Amino acid sequence: MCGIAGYFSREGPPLHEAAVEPMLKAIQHRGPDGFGTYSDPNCVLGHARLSIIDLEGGWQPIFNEDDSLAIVFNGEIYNYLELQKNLNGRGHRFKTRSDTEVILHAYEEWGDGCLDRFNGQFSFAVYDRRDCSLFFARDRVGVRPLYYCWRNRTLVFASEVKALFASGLVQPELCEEGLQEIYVYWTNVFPNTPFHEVYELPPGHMMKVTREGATISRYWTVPSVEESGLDDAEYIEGLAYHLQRSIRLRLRADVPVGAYLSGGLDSALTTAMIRRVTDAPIKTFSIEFTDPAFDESVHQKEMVRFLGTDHSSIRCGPDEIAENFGNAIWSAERPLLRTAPVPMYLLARLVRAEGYKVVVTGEGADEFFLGYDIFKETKVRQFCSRQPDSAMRPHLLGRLYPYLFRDPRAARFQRSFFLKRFREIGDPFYGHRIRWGLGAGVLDFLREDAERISPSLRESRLLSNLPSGFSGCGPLERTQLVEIETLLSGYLLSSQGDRVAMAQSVEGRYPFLDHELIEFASRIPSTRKMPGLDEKHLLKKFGKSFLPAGILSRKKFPYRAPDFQGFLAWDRGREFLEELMSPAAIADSGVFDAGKVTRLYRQAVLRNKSGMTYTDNLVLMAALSTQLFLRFFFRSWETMRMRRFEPGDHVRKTTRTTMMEGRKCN
Amino acid sequence: MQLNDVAATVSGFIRDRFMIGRPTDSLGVSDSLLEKGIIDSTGVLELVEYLEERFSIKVDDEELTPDNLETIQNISNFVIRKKDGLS
Repeated sequence: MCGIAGYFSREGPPLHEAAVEPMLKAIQHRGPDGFGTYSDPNCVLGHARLSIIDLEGGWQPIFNEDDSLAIVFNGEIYNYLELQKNLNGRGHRFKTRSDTEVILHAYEEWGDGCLDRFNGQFSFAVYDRRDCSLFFARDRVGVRPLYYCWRNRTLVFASEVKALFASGLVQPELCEEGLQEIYVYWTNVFPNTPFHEVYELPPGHMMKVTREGATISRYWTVPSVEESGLDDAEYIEGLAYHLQRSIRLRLRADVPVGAYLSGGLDSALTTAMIRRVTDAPIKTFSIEFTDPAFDESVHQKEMVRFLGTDHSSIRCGPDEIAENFGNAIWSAERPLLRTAPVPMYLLARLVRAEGYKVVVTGEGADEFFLGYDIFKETKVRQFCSRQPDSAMRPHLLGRLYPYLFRDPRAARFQRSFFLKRFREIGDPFYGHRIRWGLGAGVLDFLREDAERISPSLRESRLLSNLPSGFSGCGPLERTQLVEIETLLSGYLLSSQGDRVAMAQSVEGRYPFLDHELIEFASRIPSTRKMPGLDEKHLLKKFGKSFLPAGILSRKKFPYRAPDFQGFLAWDRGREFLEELMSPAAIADSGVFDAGKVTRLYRQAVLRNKSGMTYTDNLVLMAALSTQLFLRFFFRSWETMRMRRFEPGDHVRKTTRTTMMEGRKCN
Repeated sequence: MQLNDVAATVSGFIRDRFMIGRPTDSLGVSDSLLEKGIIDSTGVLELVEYLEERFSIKVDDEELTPDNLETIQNISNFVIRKKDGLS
């Protein structure tokens, strides 16, 4: 796992390699084991390495047999051994034992068709010196990142946006539309970012840059659900097979692999499956929260005892979270409406401190096996819509959120809240309508003259990213597809996943995101995955045979961290917070209405823990994180850049540059 | 669709969903789910949601009666009648 960066231009003066090293330094956290570069007048490629496979030989860029192709790659191709065998048989010769080289030869052999054969998480660039073209690809669900920007016919690309700015070739400019998307969706609509004209290559897409220009195309879509008419036992058998296979592949490394144990079902399954496929000692990691409302350590300990793992944990209180929120924003490169990425950042730091570079973790199970409450909400709303005048049906909401409906006086109000627009089954975003309605409340706090992108335009852009069959799916499946696109790919795997883990030079591996497992899951009808309101039913049933009962019977406990409340309790940071949230500072930033935000802030400070609504919290989180975001990326870039990077003593910098003779392509 | 299959499916759902931590072998097809405290008033709604989705039927408020929903046997018969368009 690593960082990649570079730039490419077919026209104009020959490119100079000087910009690539600052780019690599900016993403050194992704690749602390050393740098490698390649340059010629048309293309400069850079790679920052985190050595995981073929520690000796896997330095990049890597070239093919006749040096006509070069690659820089961030990620893992788990089935590289099988592919290598196949390619060997077809006459390809390998110089290293790395998976990187396998990509190159696969590309040689199958062109962009190679992508269908890769089982992995990846982001890479292949430079073809013969026709002066550049080929980019990103994995199917967006585990590994890729950003790019065009500047005067030069394409600049990197694993993280900060490297684009570090090149000196690109200046940060704010994209207000990008910000507004984040406030409502917690993420951008691909390919947008909060930076003007900086784009993200969407998951499951490739980009070919040639003489004719750049073409972006999709090579994979989340498959639509198609029943295969099996019974539960058969689905579980298939699940066992695929999950085991997926885990086996993801244990392939020349360094030890650890595992996260959140205390929940998903990581319990992944860790228990590791135990199934190997007798080697298992190292596990977890977060303990000082606030019992968020803490799951009892269940983590239960799993540790049950599997006999060697376990380490960090304790997180509001102070640790508040203190590291800025680091998380710097890593995520966007405002964050939740502090949840921060404990993940701290957890990765623990992993690194214990000498591990790789961890297996359970993301994806909720999306593909129906674990989230939003899926249940969608079902209940749809249930009510079948008999809109039924007095009985709305009571099912009380089963979903018993605490909200305990007080009969509040119950009626809650019902009308959750049943807003419940008849509109044809609304493409039926399942998200309520949530986004709340998120849109943040937009009410933007400065008066801010240009607001119309919700319908924003939604139509999102719609165009979703699979072509989307509109024909039922409400539950539509909700699922939107969660995969926005929450999973756009937020969990990035801000809460890759960015914060790689900030600590730790690579996450996601068994539930194995594409064959995803494709298998798509052949299971939703009513089996979630019969009634029983979330992750099949996963639980599967786990029955080898997990402790305590883990299985737990209600879904969403991973969360204390949000704005935590900042209010942050005594050490009081002055800092006051300054950031002052009317002058908010006005100066030019995004939010200083009067409105500071009034809300002062109210929150006065009331402290009580009385803050869900939307209040979102607004204050949006405002605070935007302040930090703007300061990090838009104030004096040089000073910010310098302050953020303290070379650790585990960094060994080596630069190998291969200068190749050549003229600019025509 | 056979009555036995429906009964087995419904029984499976009720066991998995409403009888966690309870011995399930004691659940007979003629046992009153309400009397045995297995399903309460909101649980019935979830059961109906499940039946509607699993068997592609539609249940009216007036049909939420013990005759239709009190026992696994009643539920299965009810589902079959709905599928056959007789209800």
